[in-house]
Amino acid sequence: MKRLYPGLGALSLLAFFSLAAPGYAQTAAATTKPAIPLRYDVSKEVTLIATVRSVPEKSSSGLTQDSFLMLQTKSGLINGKVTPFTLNGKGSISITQGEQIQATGMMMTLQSKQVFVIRTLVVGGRSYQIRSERGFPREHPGAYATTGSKGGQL
Amino acid sequence: MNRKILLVILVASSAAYFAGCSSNPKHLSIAISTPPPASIIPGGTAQIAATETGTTALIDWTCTPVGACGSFSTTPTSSGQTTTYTAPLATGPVTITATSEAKGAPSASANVTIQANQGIAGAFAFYVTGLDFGQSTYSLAGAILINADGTLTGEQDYNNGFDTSSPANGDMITSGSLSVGADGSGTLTLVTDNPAVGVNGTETFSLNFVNNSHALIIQADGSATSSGSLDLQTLPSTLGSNFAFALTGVGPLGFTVTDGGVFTISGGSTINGTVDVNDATAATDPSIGNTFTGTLTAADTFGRGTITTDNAEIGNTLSYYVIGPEAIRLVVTAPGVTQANPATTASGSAFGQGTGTFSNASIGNSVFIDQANAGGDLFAAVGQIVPNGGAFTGVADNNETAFSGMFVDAAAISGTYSIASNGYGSLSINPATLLDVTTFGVYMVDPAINVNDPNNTSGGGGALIVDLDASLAGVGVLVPQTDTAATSFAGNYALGLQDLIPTTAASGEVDFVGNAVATATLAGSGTLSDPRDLFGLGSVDTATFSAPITPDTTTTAGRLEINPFTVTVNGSGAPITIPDMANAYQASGAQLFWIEDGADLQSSVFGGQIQQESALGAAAAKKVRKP
Repeated sequence: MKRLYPGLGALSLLAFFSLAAPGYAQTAAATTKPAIPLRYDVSKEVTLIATVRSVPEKSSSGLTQDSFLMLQTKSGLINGKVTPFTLNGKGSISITQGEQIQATGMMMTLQSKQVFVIRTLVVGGRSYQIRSERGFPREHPGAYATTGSKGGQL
Repeated sequence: MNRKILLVILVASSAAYFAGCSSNPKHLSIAISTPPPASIIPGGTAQIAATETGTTALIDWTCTPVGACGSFSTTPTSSGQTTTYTAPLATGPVTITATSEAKGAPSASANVTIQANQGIAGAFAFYVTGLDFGQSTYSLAGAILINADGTLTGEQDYNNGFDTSSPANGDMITSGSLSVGADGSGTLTLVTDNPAVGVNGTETFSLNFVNNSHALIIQADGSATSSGSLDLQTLPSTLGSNFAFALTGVGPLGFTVTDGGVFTISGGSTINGTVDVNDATAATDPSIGNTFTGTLTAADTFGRGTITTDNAEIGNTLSYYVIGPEAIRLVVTAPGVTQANPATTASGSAFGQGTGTFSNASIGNSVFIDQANAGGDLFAAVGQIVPNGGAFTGVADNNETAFSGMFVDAAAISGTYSIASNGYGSLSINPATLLDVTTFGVYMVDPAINVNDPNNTSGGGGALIVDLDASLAGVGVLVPQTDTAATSFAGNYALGLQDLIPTTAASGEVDFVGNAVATATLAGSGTLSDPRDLFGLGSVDTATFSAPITPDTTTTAGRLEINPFTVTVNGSGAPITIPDMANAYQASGAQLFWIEDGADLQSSVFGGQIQQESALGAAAAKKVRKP
């Protein structure tokens, strides 16, 4: 079994992970570390208002690496993780650079990155649920839009 | 008559006799030295020749049935001289005969079968599931009657749960064609009366036959991509009584749904069953052990019938397509579906359970695969287990990098399982060993049924499985593991995979079908369906690969690493190379499952089948059952 241990701050964590889970977090640097899967948890949701700094664009080279909705908040720039269906296909959501949005989600560490996993979006006064409360992606989220609401700030 | 006169008569007679011959008939022989192939396509040609000994007489070429057996470019020929045989347009057996003009000389014959598509013809059922161009999970099942010349007709049910579906009576497949090469690869084109499906009503599939009764198929026409199976039907068939089933799809709220269970058919039409459901939007999820009832109508001439149920999670209306008495494909139907009124889309299979009963002892050493559909949190898991009286140990891989960034390779797993006498059961993997994969619903099938190739009389048994975990949803199969020798993974194989790519910027699904030769490497090629052009080379590409096969000697035999699995994709631009990695688990030398190894850092995840090919052609064609 492959098992690589990059430096971890807490020795106790290392001991726990090595005993409990032979899983590896995928990273761009091709290193792996033991971890247990993170699960979406609605009790840890926060709502923020942000300005869209950039929208993912399709690479012409056929790359399949993930990309993010870059959001400018009062606390700084964050990686907003939407679903594969949010910006693609029928019933997708139109989000443009410079637009102000409201996003409800949860901060998670995925592939060694701090990511804001978005469950709901309010764009242009319309509210879109893009994931279930357990984090499952939703097809055609634009088709299920409802009237938007205001949220707090991060 | 005196002796002198008698001698003159004998000499004259001999001279007259041998005037038309060049040799003594007792020493003459003829053989077809360049025979035709065992089969030729209608209108096809072959170079043939015959060689004589003991004579230099010309050789006449004839064939039967007279008038419908083809023609020869040259006849007569001299000994050893080739002639071009042109087959008739009609299919069937032909006997070609070479006859020497030497009096008393024997003739020589060769048999050839005139057939298209390696002799593959008859009634077939198909099903696929995948993503259409609009990013809707879609389900498609149907049946076609393929004629000997490759032309066909049939019917089908299409449903993407969002804006495209077939009417209540299904789509008619008004025409189409099948072409199959000697390596089993080919193309299936279906022309339907529904302009909303495929490209203006025409769907094109790439496929690779494993044998004359089974092929792996993908839709590959730019309108959609998906993976599934094409299987010879036995029509008509009277369905058995007890079935296991599993379905995968997306519910009317746009979230993935998987379900499975067992049911009985009483009186030919009444269904009673138990279903487990994994629906992220349900108040109780997973929802285990729900009873349901339904009604089944008799199948039509294509083997299509309908099922209604009182369980919306399964689907209130489904169509089924008969493969045989113990195998049907299922597709949830939604006539008239619109964006304003979306519906469930799902497809799957139901397999007979035979007449016996089940227990924990019904599961022996087994290999499993468990895979999401494109609408859910993307993952694929594959592994093998060794049961021991309701407990098990094993080894497995799970790639869920697409949603949690995590993967495990060759993880030691253990847990428990329980199978009731009706084949309904469950299997629990101890938490924190295979990431989010911990719970399967297990639905046992007839030990005589091969769930991956229902007409195959070997490789039978096992179960359909449904992933009942809270964090993901999937379906798969669990099949007996009968041969873990790495040397058994050798020869010609058909391969299929469903690759789910989650990138925010260009998400989607690509599917592959092709064939390869397994030696120390797995080297092959095939078709890659990429309707959203994620690879930037067009919607239908070709892929080639040559990857080393490394038996995993550090864990239980049966696990194989196919690394690096470097795939070169060729299309409308400069080829690109994808540095994939893959791992496979071997049920036998004839059946393996493989998934993408998360260690390849691609964030995508694929899973699929590797099935050993058997010879196609005239000999195998004789076994094809015609409806």
